[in-house]
Amino acid sequence: MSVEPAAKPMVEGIFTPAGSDGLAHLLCSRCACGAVAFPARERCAACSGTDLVVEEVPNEGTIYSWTTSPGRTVRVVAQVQFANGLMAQGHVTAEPAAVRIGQRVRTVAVPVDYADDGTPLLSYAFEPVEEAA
Amino acid sequence: MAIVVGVGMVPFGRHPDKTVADLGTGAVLAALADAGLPWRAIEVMHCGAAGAGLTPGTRIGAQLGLTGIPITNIDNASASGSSAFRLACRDVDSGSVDIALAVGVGKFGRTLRLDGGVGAPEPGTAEYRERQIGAMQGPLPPAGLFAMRTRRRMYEFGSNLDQFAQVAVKNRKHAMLNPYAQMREPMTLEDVRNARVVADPLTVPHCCPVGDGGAAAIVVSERKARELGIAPAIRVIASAFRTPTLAGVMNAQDADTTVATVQAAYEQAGLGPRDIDLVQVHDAFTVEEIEYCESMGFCERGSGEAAVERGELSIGGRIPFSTDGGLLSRGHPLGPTGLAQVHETVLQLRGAAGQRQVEGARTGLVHMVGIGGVCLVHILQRE
Ligand SMILES: [Zn+2]
Repeated sequence: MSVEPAAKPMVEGIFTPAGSDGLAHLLCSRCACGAVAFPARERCAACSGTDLVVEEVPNEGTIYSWTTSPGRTVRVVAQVQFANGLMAQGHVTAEPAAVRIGQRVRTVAVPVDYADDGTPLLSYAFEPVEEAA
Repeated sequence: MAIVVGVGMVPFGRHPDKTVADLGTGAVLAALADAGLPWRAIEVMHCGAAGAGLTPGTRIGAQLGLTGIPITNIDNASASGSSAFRLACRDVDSGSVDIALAVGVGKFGRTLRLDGGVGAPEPGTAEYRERQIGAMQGPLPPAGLFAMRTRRRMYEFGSNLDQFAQVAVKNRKHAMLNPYAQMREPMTLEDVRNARVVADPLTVPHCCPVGDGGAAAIVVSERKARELGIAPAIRVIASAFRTPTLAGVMNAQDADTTVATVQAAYEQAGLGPRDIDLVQVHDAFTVEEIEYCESMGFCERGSGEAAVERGELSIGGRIPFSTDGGLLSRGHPLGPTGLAQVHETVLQLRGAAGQRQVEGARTGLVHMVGIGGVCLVHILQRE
């Protein structure tokens, strides 16, 4: 009898698949001076200070701009702006025709690979939020 | 102030029969011939190259003759040649030498990783972790970031893609008049529209080509210029160099750094945009010429597209940009590009630019951006 290993992020410290509210969140650093950064930094870009804590970025953000990545499968890559002032880049789980600047998206965890022991590895991605008609 | 007395180039394009050192030697010999100086008069050399192997400048020096002079190799990505030029000017300005040489070389070949490695990084290494983080963020070619900058401008200012394509068409027209340019086939707006998409919405002609080439410039002190009887002198009246201050909106970082660098250059020269007659800009992608034209104070934010459309940035227009074809059509072999800009500016200020001559050109600005946020601006002026 085998137990399927639990999925985990491809790289630790970039995002959490289930944060304090059960939703996926990017992880950013916040410096004592107030500056936030994604991915999290050990030394602040604004003041060079080292008094930084890791915190969750809001689950939802807004598409600032987008393009497509090269390769056989066309994939949308977007810059997403969050209410805490951060901008992060990542894949969007939608076809180009369904993506637009200003669109609300939520952060989700998606399986992208397997570790040698069969553990599913997760990345984050952005999923368009259904808007009320 | 440093005075430019010689410029030389190996035309940009493909040179499979020449090594990186051969390309540099060709450019240096052309600059020496232009200045009427022998290699043995050069007191210091700076070589700009990006990912062109170890110490290309030292190999160029060895080809030209072992004179024992200091030779420094600089890798500042696209701004490597501009960085070499700045250091040559500063050596002369410091009074430590009277004659300094800057050379830039580049050759399209294997693609180097930004972390310096070749091939795929080994699992378990810091480089592998960086690669995986990059994969999560959605890895893009350089065109991807500029595609997003283009799309954002279209959203903010209501501009259309054809207006960006007009930059490529204009710079191709300029390149067709330049024997040193890589891309000299006629190109229409239709051609730009119908080309292959690199990163939505950008097609191939919105992006600069890869290629091989070399470019060099020789600068001398005021004292040496008098001794050589140089007249009229072309002086480097500003040399400004900035890196980003804060990772603000990642989409606009190069434009912000350009604002700070150009401002510093204007202050050094005691000039403003109204005093500039022509500009060579880092137009690796069409959106850049439009953005930086605004960053440099030649038009209001959001009006760059219209300025291009009205022909204001063409030869014969209000403020000609990329008179030699720019990175988009003169070409961009990384290392030599900043020195090709100096080459073009010096020809223009001498009134020796032939069919692409900007009438009455006296003051020219050159601008380069290197990946990671390096920005250099020089202003050259004929006395
Ligand atoms: Zn700080």
